[in-house]
Amino acid sequence: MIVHQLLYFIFSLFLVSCAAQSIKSFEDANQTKNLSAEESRIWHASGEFDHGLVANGSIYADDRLQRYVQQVMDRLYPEYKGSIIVKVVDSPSLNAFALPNGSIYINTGMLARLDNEAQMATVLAHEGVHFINKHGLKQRQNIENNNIVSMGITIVTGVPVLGQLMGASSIYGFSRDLERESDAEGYKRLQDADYDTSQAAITFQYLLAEVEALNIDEPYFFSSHPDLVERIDSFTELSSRVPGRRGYTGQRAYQEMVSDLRLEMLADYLAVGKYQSVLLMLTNSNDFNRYPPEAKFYLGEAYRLRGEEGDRARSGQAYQYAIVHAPQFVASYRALGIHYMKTEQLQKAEKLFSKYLELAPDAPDRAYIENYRASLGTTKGD
Amino acid sequence: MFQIRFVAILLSLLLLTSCVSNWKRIDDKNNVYQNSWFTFNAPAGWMLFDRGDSVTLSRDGPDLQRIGVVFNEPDKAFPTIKKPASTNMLPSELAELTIAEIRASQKNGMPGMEIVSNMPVTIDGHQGFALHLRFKLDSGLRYETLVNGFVTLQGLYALYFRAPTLHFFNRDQVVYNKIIATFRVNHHVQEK
Repeated sequence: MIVHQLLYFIFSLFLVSCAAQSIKSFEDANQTKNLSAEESRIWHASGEFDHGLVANGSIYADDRLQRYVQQVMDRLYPEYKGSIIVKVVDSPSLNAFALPNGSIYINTGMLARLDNEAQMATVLAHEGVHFINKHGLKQRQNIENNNIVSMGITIVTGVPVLGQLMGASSIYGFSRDLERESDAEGYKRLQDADYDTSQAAITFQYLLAEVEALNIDEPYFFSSHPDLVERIDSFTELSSRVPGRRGYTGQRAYQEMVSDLRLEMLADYLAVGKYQSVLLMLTNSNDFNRYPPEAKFYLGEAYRLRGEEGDRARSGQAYQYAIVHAPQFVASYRALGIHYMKTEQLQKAEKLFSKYLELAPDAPDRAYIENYRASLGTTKGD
Repeated sequence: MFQIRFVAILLSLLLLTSCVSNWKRIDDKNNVYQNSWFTFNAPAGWMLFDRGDSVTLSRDGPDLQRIGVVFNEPDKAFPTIKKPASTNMLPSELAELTIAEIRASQKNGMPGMEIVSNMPVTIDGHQGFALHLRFKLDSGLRYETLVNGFVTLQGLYALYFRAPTLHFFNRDQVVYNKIIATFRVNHHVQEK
């Protein structure tokens, strides 16, 4: 079904590319209600994509976070309130993208890696320009038909489904000129919304550091090494031309909003055995400050999974830190209990297992823990 | 053009022929399967595909129900996440790595995969794990999977059963449970 939608969308883009007409940017929200026939077709196809993303469960289920991200977008584009709709996509990939109909998507993976609201606003402002200036349509007009076909094949054969949907938008980026235009006009939006514009270049330095440190190899615009370098150059140039303004950074508000999300990302990495990524993300003390204290539990898990010399002691220390600083986070008790059991500190293990089951009587791994507790009595004590 | 088509047809025929020849029907008189690593009672009337250190069984086709019995040496236990198995690992840790391996081996990490249950079990006297997973294909078809496993000094033994939720999973789970109940690590392997 989604492939059909996709093919229809690509076919629509193909038709538009054949129609050689000049494309004017939206000047206000009213113009978004007065579309050409080709635009209406593309908007319809975009709407089908929107429904597809909702239907396949790709939208991150956190209304509070969704509202927060929308508020930031409305602050950047107040005259387009109701016309630009932002949604958070549940995907660890480092990406954000715009559809021609004003739907803008930002991935949880992107949000988890940014440091403050001004940085998120930088990304949203950039994507908003793609919509207002109709970059999707402009790009198609300049692309050879066979390029569109080849792009379509790439998308159709691409996995996962989410990647297929995103492929026909700004996901892989537009031409250098259009991206620079988005940088410049997005930067102006940041200024007008009184955001700290010094965060703009830092946003992409952050992302570039992540891409390099984690050796991320994804085709998306915001995880592409050359595109990120280009953005850093572009925003550095913009800030040198236009005096920087120390506006709103929104560090605290942002941390509060994405705190749980950051932990989920760590859990997601460990769920697919990517303990190296967690180690890279958490062993830098500056980066660790972005995470709530229970992140130490995930650091401990990453050490345990790596299992190199000294990692057992490191994991034990990390679990202890998590218990002291985030005593409500029950998984740390179980992990430290297992750590003590393996290091034959059995009485300590028993206490922690007992605490774990007391705090989480319905724990899904209760049967395992009860087995381990039973085994403690048959072996030598501390 | 004709030559390319001819070669393609020939290759397809060879492939089909080779597949067919490796599937064998299990008869009710000689249904004890044994290889270098393990032994179990195979269900009469089902088809069995033998790869040496792994066996696949199905009655109506692998997409409709598939039972697998696999032995992997410790270093090859979790190839996607590149982790070895060892007897120092607890059953819950083996289950954790098995889940990570399943997720990591899918390009999208199987975000919709649901862990229905994860419990300790004993198989042939070995402490192991029993996982019940549920997931949905892009086509919308719902599947369920049971995975059981344990580790010995020789390596990781894993058994799994996968079938569509509709009709096949409940019907053929009984067959899988019988295989688990009769599963034995071969003594000469244990003594190595």
